[in-house]
Amino acid sequence: MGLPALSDAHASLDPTGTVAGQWRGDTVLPGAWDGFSAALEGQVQNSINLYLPLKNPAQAMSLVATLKEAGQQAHEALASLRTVASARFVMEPTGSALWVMTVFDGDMGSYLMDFVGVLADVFDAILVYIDGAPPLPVREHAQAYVDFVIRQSKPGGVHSAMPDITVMEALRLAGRPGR
Amino acid sequence: MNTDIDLSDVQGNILRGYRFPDVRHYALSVTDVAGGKQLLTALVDGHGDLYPLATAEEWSDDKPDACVNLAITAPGLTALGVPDDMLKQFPASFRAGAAQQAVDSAASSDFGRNGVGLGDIGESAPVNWVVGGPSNPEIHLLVSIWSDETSAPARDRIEAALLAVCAANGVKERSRHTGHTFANNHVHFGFRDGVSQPQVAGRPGNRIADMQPDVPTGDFLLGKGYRNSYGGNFIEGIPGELAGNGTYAVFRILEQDVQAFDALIERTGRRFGIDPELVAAKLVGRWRSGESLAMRPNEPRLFAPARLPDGQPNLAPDKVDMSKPFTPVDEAELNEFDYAPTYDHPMQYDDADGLRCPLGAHMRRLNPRGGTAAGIQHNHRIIRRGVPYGPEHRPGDPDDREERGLLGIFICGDIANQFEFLQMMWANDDVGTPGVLGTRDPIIGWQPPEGGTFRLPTGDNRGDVVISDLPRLVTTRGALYCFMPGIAGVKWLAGR
Repeated sequence: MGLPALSDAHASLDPTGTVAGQWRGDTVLPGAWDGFSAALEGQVQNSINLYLPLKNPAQAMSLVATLKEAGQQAHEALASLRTVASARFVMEPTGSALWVMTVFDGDMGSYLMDFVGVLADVFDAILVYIDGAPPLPVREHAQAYVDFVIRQSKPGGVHSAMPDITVMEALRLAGRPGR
Repeated sequence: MNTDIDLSDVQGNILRGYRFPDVRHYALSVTDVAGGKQLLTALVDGHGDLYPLATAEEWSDDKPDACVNLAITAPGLTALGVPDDMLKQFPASFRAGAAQQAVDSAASSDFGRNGVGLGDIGESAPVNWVVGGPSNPEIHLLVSIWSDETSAPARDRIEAALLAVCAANGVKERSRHTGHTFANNHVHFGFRDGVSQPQVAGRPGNRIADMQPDVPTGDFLLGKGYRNSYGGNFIEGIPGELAGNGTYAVFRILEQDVQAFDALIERTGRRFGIDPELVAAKLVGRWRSGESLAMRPNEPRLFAPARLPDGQPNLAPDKVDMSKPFTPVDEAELNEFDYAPTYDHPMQYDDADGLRCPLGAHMRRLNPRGGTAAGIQHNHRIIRRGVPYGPEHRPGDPDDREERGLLGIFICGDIANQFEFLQMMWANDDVGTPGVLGTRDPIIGWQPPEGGTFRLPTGDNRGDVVISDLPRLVTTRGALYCFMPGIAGVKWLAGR
């Protein structure tokens, strides 16, 4: 499958011109993304682009502070799973939404419960700011959390320079196989 | 013993194996709600020769001569009068059922990079099943009678009583599946089975030596008080009066192609100059005796030698060549190993490269223990209650064209995160652990028509021996996703 013209893709991605809180991802970005992926067929890496609209953009800085506080815990938790190649939190400049973007090995649905296992506290702290969040705490409502993540995850496969090397394999090659 | 579990409310084969050699599974359909409830009442209370459902309580005197258990499908809950809004509280996988999940998982890229999902495609597709498939009658209940070899009369009386209650209450028997364990707990491929089971926290009985930690009770029992591996509980919104002390059971009929396995190890052995018994052990991860390659990488010590003078694999103690030294291995020792050093067992050999047990070996894939694996460690465990069906086949026997295989009951607190995860991600996908890219489980995995791949590290200058003609050895012949209620749950269903 050939890549679509990047200019078209960027035009769809860029919310410039929208009013803070207006772009809800699930309403304004419809079929433009259907079939789009920068991923190679058969590559081991997959991605979650989790769109989390804030209840109130005025709370954006408070959420950022929460993220900073949880940073080390999130880092250690993700490292323990040995499936996550990279993860980042990106706040919309308008404060309307937080994006949680993760590149990981395998399939999304199969490892989401692992995030519950190691990151439930972090997601509890984040989701109190999020419009339409599932019931909390996450550990007590794991299935609702999984359904929410699947619903809020926007497509867009990730390009990888190492399409056939998993995180575990890379760590092994680097001499840091861990446990 | 953890007294937090009400053992009298938990069906008996969940937390412990009965170790009965015989089993008969009856796949039943309810045609009338009231009649179905009458059957449940008879199963809870006993009815004439029909024994009441066995529980996890410790046997006070002698072991009983038979035990009866009950599992219910999602359509079965509906047939027993459970309303839709309550049924919707059950997990989606259970509600969809085995056949639908098999089809959906193979069709969706969300289930496994390899695109085969659960692996139930081709000959294993639900359309070819003998039970649970779209061309089979809808099954509501699975009643199982487990019995001793010496108690056939008791089993037959129980069966007669069960079928009489069914007939009197409009419950139809749709199919019957009979299994029988072979000597020394061997199954058709010639391996000792049932060696490794999760040690569930709070289970009755003695702890078997095992380097793995106990599994949280909530991974196998539903209840607000039972924490699972994720810190929550799998019962979530299901009413406790129905689901408390219940669990899920996946019933699968798995045909095993023993001739193909025999041929595979023989031709691989010839081609690469390896003892076929070692090839067999490398594919499975254990010797036929049950001893792990992690413990005994070069030869088994339980039954020595690996081959008898007539060339047959040595399977039974009575065939041991007593002229050769051997040390019997206590069954309790068979599980005390790991693939890597851990904080609790720092001196354990680090088999990170799979030199002892290949990374893609069946039992290492499905339970990587302390070795490197994706996700939370020691997770996705299931309890296996499998019994062979069909005539016994010993390695080297001629092809009699008889169907044989395993009647498997796979018990777990969440079908998606345990049974389906193992089947899709660790058996049929290739990113669960390093070194398995492009391969699938050599025993239970789907294999492409041109043959699957298996890497066998040698640790010498040959590099990896790569077997590239793996046939599909196991074919799914039927499956049901079931809920196994607690005793109180059965009473609740019967009394609603």
